Parts: sequence; C-alpha cells; structure tokens
Amino acid sequence: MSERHLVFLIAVAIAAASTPIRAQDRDGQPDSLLRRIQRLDSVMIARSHRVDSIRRSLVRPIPPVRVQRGTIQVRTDSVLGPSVRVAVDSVAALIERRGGTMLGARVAGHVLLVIPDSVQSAFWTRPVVTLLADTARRWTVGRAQTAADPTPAQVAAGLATLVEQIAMQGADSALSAWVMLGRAPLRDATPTETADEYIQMVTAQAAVVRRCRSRDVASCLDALGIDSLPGTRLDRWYAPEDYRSALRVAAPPREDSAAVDAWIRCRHDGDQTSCRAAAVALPNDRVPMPLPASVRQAFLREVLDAGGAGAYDRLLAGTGTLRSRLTVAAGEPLDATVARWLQRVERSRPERMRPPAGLILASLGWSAAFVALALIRRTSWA
Amino acid sequence: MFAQSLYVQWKWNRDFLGFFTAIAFAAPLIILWIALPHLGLSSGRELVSVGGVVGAATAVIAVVAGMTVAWHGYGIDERAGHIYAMSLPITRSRALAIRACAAAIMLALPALGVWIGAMLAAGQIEMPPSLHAYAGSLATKALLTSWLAHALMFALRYCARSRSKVVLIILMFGLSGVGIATSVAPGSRGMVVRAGDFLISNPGPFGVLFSRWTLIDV
Repeated sequence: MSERHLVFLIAVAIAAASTPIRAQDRDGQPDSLLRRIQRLDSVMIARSHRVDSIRRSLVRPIPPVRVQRGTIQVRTDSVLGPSVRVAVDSVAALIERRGGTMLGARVAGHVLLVIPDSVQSAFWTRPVVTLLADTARRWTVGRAQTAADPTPAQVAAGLATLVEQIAMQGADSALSAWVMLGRAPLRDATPTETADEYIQMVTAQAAVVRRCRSRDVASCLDALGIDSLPGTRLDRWYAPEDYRSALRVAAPPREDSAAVDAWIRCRHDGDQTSCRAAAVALPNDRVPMPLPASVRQAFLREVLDAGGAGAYDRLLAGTGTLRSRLTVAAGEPLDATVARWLQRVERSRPERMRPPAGLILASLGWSAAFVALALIRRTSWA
Repeated sequence: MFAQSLYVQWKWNRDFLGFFTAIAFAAPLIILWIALPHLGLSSGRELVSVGGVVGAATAVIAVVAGMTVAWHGYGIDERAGHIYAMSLPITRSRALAIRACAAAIMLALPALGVWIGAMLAAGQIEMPPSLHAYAGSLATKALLTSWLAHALMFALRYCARSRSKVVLIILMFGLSGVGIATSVAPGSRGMVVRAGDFLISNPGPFGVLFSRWTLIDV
C-alpha cells in the first residue's frame, strides 16, 4: 500500500467516525420536533374544523326548549315554546286517538324541530317558522312551514302534518304507491277537503265513478285502485263518451303516428271516431286514473275511522292484497266501509254559489256606508 | 221629486245602461256558444270551468256598470256646475240620497240582463244531474256588486269632487306601496295579510266580489 493510499484510508476513517458525532451535536433537533408538532397541530385543527363543518352540514343545532307529551318530542326556542306546548298537547291526543304502538314508535324515533326560519321572497327574505321531522339538515322525512308568529292551532297543524308523513315513512311499496301522497290521513277532514271530495266525485268524467255513485261497490273499489275488475283500464273506467275527457290528460305514444293524429283531431274537433281510435291506442298504464289521490286519502281516513284505535297498526302490519289489508284495518267488510263513505260523500255537497244572508246583509251595509260617506260630508257642490 | 230625479238620471245613463244590460244578457250565451263545442257537453268538470268563465265575466260587467253610472252621473252634473242639483228645493244630503237610490234602481237592469241571459244559456245545456245552474244567485251577486261599486265611486266622486282622479291615483300607488312594503319589511306582512283577508272575505266590504262566481256548479 502506497503512502497516498494510506492517507486516503485514514481520511475516510476519520470522516466515517466523525459523522455520528456531528448528528448528535446538531443544534436544530428540538426546533425540528417543535416544528413538526406545530405542523401536526395545524393539520389537526384544520381537520377538526372540517369535521365540525361536516357535522354542521348534516345536523342542525338543537334548540334549547324540550317539549314532550307521550311519544312525541319537540325541540323549539323559548319564544315559540308556549305555542308549541299547546300544540303538542293536541297532536299527542291525535296520536293517542289513532292509537297503536307502531305509530307511537315511529313518532318516538324522531325529535321534531320547530324553529324560526326565513324564506326568500321577491325582494327580501320573509320570516317563517319551519317544522322539521328530525335534526338532520338533509334527508329530512317531513317539513312544514307556517307564519312567523304562529298560533297554537297553526303549529298543531304543522306538527300533525309531520306526524302524518312520519306515519307513512317506511311503509311497504304497495301501500305507499296506493296512498300516493306520502302521508297517512290521521287528522279529521277539513270542510274544504270534504267539499273537494264531493266535487271530485260528481265531476269525474268516468263511467266507473258514475257506477260507484250508484252504489256499485266493486266499481268504487276499482275506481279507488283497491281491487280491479276484469278487463283493461280503458274498458273498466271509461265509456266512449268519456274518451275525449280522458284524452285531455293522456296521449298515445309518439311512435304511433296514426293514434297521435287521431288524438289531435279528437282534442280539436271532438270527433268521436278519432277519440275512440286515440283512446284504444293508450297503453294500459297510461290510462288516466278516474279519481285523484285526495279521494284515496279520504277513503283511507274512512277506513282508519272505522277501525278505531289500532287501525293504523293493523294496516301497516297486514299482509296480502290491499283489499284484505284495508279490511283488516277497518275491522269490518270493506263493502260496509265503502257504503258508509259513499253516503258521507253524497251528504257533503257544498253550497258554494248561494250567497248566505250574512254576505248579502254585509254587502248592503257596506254599500250604504260608502254612500253615507258622501252624504255626511258638509261641503259645497263644486 | 224622486221620480223626476230618476227620470233625469235615466236620461243621463240610458246609453250605458242599455249597453251593459245587453252585454250582461249576451255574455253567458256567447261564452257557452264559443266554449261548449270545444269541450263536450257531458263533461261535468269542464262545464263547471265554463260556468266559472261566465261568472268572472259577470263580475267584471257588474263592477264596470256600477262604477260607470256613478262616474258618469257626477261628470254630467259637474260640467253643468251642479246647477240642476242646486235648483232643487232640498238639502244636498237629500239630493244625493235620491241620486243613490235612483242609481240603485237603474243598476237592477244589468242584473236582470244577467239573470235572463244565464237562464237561457243554462237551458241550452243538457246538464248532468249532479250539476246545477245558478242564474238567480249569479244575478243577485251581480246586483250587490254593482251597488257596491257604484257606492264606492259615488263616495269618491262626491267626497273628492274635482280631485277624484288624484285620489284614485294615490290609492293605486298606496296599494302598490303596501304590496312592496310586505316584501321589503317582512314584519308588516302579517298585518297586511290580515287586513287583506278582512277586506275580501265575508263580512268585509269586498266579500261579495271575492266570493264564488259561476253559472254552473255542483
């Protein structure tokens, strides 16, 4: 080994031996750890903010006042508290009257919120009170709105709407599809709803509804979509003279150009032959239903009324056809329920056009008052 | 005195009254004549809709007739410097009361036109048993509404006199302002809505005008 090689090896050995000593003696080590801790802290705070943000986007802040009667639990603020307490009493009575453990359990699974809110109006935001079926910001089952300073009756109406929506939540698809509106009719019908039901029944342009009104129970069940008669929907529901009316809300498939042409002629000219051609071209699932969903709701209310407490539970727990489930819920043969429903509908004809005596007197009184304004003014003619 | 005043007002307003009576008589017939071939006679829902159009037309005719008679009567008198009214040996209040009563009697003519026209129109329809024609109720509402419209315009003209147009414009702007205020100041909305509800519902002043108007109903 030459001298030059020896010097090189000694230099390498010294360099290798000195490396750990430099690492242990480095002055920046604590600063580096501190910086790392600070960086991790920042990350943690940022992630914490993100978690908070996500939580806030999913769940609303819970108002402080808690009102509970039976299975219904409501959270609200101190201003709305007194109205909500009165309202909750009446809604709890409604749940108790409809009875059943299933309804109670479903309502108990939600914390209803009654909170001040605002909605966008034309130029500004408008204060309202929003009623929600749970604390989630999204995927809320039910929602209702009422005036900014609601009366207990208005709050009760909103809460009852939520309870009706919760009642249909998770119902099986057959029942949900039949009910259509996504809420169970637990409340009593209002005069407006009753009048609307009568008007729908007497103005429906469908042979099946006319047969129903003449006390044909099978036709009633068919018109309500509970039990079908044999044949196509068009044959079962509509007579030829009804085709033109049915074709106002339904059209044949666009691929069938001859039927579309007949449909246009039927609508414009009222030609019976064209109406028939267009109507028979309607696919079975496109034939319009003879009665709207509101009438089904009214009939379901009749079923629940007939069944009394527990009718709702029996309806949801029932199996088999819709007819058999409604029969079990009503606790009586469905023919009897239909007959009673028809009687009630026929009795509920509204007197909308006859001016009541109070209206006539009020109108005369106001007219006289306006004329008196001119008479009592003490002034010259000009 | 009353007969003489009635005769004078009749001379002033007979053209307008003849026009409104003819329109009120013809409107139900014309509307049904136009609409029914396009709708089909047997459709209950569509008959109710057509009846609603007749009702709306009747309401408009009643309001315009009442206001026109009041506006025109005052206008003629004003152009003559109220000479005729001042020449009568009675007080201003009594003269105005006689005028209002005479106008009320004359406004029965358009209502009569509505009743006869609606009866004839309803007779042309083969009505389903569940539907009814309400010619009498429609005419009654037309009469009440024309009296109300006349009373309002009568009060405005004889209270505001030559400033009637200004007052009308102020009223229109005021109502528009209230509408905007409900949007800009949401706190006032509840009060405005309650006031509006009172005005347009029974027993408010405009309850009869905002009630149901239709020739054919259940």
